[in-house]
Amino acid sequence: MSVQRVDRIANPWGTRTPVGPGEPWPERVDELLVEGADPERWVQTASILHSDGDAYDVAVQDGRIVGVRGRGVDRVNRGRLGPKDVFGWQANASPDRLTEPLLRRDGELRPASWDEAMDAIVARSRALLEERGPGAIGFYTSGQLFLEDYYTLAIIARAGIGTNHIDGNTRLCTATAGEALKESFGCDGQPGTYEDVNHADAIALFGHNVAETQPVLWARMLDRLEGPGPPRLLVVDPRRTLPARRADVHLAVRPGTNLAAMDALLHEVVANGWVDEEYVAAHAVGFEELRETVAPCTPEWAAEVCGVDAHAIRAAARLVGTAERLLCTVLQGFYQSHQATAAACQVNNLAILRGMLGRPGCGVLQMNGQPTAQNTRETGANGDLPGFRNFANDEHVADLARVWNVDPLQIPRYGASTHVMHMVRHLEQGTLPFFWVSATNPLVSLPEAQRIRSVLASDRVFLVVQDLYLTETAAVADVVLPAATWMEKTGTFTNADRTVHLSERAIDPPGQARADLDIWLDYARRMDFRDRDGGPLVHWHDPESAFEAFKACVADRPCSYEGITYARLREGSGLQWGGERLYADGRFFAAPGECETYGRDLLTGGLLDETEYRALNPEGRAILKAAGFVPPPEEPGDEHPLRLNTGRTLFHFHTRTKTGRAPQLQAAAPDVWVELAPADAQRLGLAEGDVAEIASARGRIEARVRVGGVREGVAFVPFHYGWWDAPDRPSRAANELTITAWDPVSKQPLFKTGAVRVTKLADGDGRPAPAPTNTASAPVDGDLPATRGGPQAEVVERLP
Amino acid sequence: MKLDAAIAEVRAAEAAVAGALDAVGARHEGDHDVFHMTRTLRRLADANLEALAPVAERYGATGAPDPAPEPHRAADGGLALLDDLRALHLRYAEASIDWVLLGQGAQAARDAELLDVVSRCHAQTLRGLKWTVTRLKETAPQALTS
Repeated sequence: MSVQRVDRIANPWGTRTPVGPGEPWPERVDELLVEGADPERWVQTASILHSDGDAYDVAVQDGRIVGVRGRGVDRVNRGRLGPKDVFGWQANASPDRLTEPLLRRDGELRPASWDEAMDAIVARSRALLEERGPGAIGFYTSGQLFLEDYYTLAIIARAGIGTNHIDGNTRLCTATAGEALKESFGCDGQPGTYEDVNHADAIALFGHNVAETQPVLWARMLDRLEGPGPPRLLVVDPRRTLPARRADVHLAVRPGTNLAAMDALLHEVVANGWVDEEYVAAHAVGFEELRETVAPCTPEWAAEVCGVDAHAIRAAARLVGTAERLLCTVLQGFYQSHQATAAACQVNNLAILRGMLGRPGCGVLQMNGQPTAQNTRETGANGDLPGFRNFANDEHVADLARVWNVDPLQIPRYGASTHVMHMVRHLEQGTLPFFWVSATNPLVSLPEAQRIRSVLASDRVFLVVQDLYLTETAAVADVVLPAATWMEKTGTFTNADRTVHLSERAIDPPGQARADLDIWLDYARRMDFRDRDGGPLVHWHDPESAFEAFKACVADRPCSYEGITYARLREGSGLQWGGERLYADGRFFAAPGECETYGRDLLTGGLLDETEYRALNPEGRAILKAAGFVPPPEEPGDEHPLRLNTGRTLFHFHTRTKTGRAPQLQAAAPDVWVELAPADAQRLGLAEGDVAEIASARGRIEARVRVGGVREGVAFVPFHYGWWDAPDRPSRAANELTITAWDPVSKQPLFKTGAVRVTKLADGDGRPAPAPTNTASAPVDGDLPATRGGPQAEVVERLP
Repeated sequence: MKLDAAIAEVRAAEAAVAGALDAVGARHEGDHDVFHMTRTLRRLADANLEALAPVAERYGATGAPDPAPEPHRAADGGLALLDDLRALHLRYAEASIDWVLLGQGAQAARDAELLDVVSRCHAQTLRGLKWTVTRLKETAPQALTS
């Protein structure tokens, strides 16, 4: 074994441990302890700042966290930690944590007791239920809470209040993953596993900048790429991301045109006879319709639409068309762009046509953005019914009513739930006067920020915000509830490859802050929600009893957690529900009585009914669904000639509520920037570090210019930067610029489609843009000072 | 042969759909998905009219389709959307049944080209019809109980 210290801001992926095909991934245990620490104990947990599910232990001393160490035994990371895992925990101890409830009185937020705060919420809930009914109350939650929290919220909203207005901010990150899986396989549930990386002979990353979104998963891929017999790599991304630099084929498509590229790839797969006809005949329906849809989509046609070379499209098709073990992954480049679900479904279709499912190396990973996004989908906190039940299936609703012991009529099921963008519309129109936001920051994260500000700050809305800090959103709330966070509460969560981890309470929350579960249990008790026999509707009292209640609710459903217990998670480490790979037998959860949805038209989102679904005759077969390309809702023109692409950077998460309070992460990417291609920068008279205005039809921001590897004609702006730590500056939120539009199927907003104008405001003062140099935002000028963390960022790595 | 009249009916109905889409989109810019989807559906309606053009010429049904009367306008907010989407739905329903009738005529006349146009175009009209039902069902609970 060798031990070394590595600056993990400068080298976020750490030291390579190369592997060949089919070999197990070696352990590499990463550890960080604050200087002089002498931990009393190590407490088990996993990542809460991305969806990879890296497992680790937290060192505790004198009631404080003093370090972290990867869990070498865990299947997900084998001991490795990403930069947010290793540094992010410091935000827990930030001096500006909320420590007491706040209540708005005379226009100002003032300290209050828990009783006063909860009484205010309960009084308003009761009055509105009485006067206006359940449609007056809406809940908007997170992708960072625990399964137990979500399940409790779901039953409160659905059966307690009886409202259809419940969603998570997973709408912004993972909604398309869930919808694409439902459309293709009849039901949510990740088909693949991270182990597929170790077996694949080709990996295709569709809008998935894995190096920054799941750095430990990228480390796994890098170890394959640098080992013997490396996989071929295809990347579809408008930016020259690190994966794009390593790719055999990189399609830098115009933002908004993913579906055209996918339709052409499928066209080539069909035209070249790369279809596994036996697999398709046995395990799928809809091939004829798919063939018709992609028939006109030649590489030449797509080359024109996407602005890439037709030869490159052919090469990409050959790469995926001739692979023997193909792993496809998808993320925000597709999910947050135009025709998101249709494009993501084409990736599923590619895997189905090639018979690349359910075998080692043959998988699809429709990735999640947030750490616990998967659980919002399983519990119904994202508006689905719990346990992947189908709201249009009477038997599923009756079964849920049986589990909850309520009248089936109490559960709203007159349509899909109200997604957050429709809730915003109801708030705007005054028909939704009560809005409870937990662990998310819509003022910065929803599109068209100026509109969201005016809606949520309005006197017509009673806004409850439950969070760790006084976020931009909390600052305009009527009631602010101080929440305990990860390591201050116990619960489970599930990553993008269905691995369930337990995270234990290790320290006390600050002041009077309370666990989210306890807040909702208290609300349920005060509201006196009852089941049909007069017993308490929410009959659990702590995390483990909530977990067991959830397990009972999903026992007969595809996402059964049978056999997963707190005890087993404590004894070992992460466990996958559903086994390593779903669909090894080519049977999908698609039978009409089993499926989670009867499906939607991918172009319009129009719902199919049961009869239409039965007519497809899917039984246990996958459904090949496709749509033709239509232009995005906003295209560049004379006024706004560049395409806007917003996104993330490796060192931050969401609106930086946590990562902005972790010194190493904050220093690595301290402020907003705009990325331009060299040709665009030159045309606009802009150089590295110059200050520019970026303006759309909605709003404007100012940012320094990074001349980088983004595609020509595109301006990239990171979306992490709000105003909580820059109160005197005009807003620098990327969402000042974005358009209000969403995918018709998944309802995921289009953060990566829109038009802007960039103009120079001032010369730079010799400082480069505050953008990392070792990520997709790397400068073309190689002489700029490189991003590093210094001694504060040194992490111990124990290598085999 | 009265197929020219049936074609004229379909053209008028599709033109009415197109007009209603424009009107609904313009009136409901604040319902952003409605605004954007009416523009997408307008493309489909236009494509239908274009696909009909050669057969319309063959049957001598080339007069300009009747201009679409404006859908009814109701109160503000959710009810106005409900009302306008309902009117749009009825336009689609009319166009859909006109396609059915034309399809029956095309079969009886053994006109394969016309039959092909009908089956391709009718699918697009049904798509719009289905979207209006879905969107109406989303709108109705809040509009009718708030």
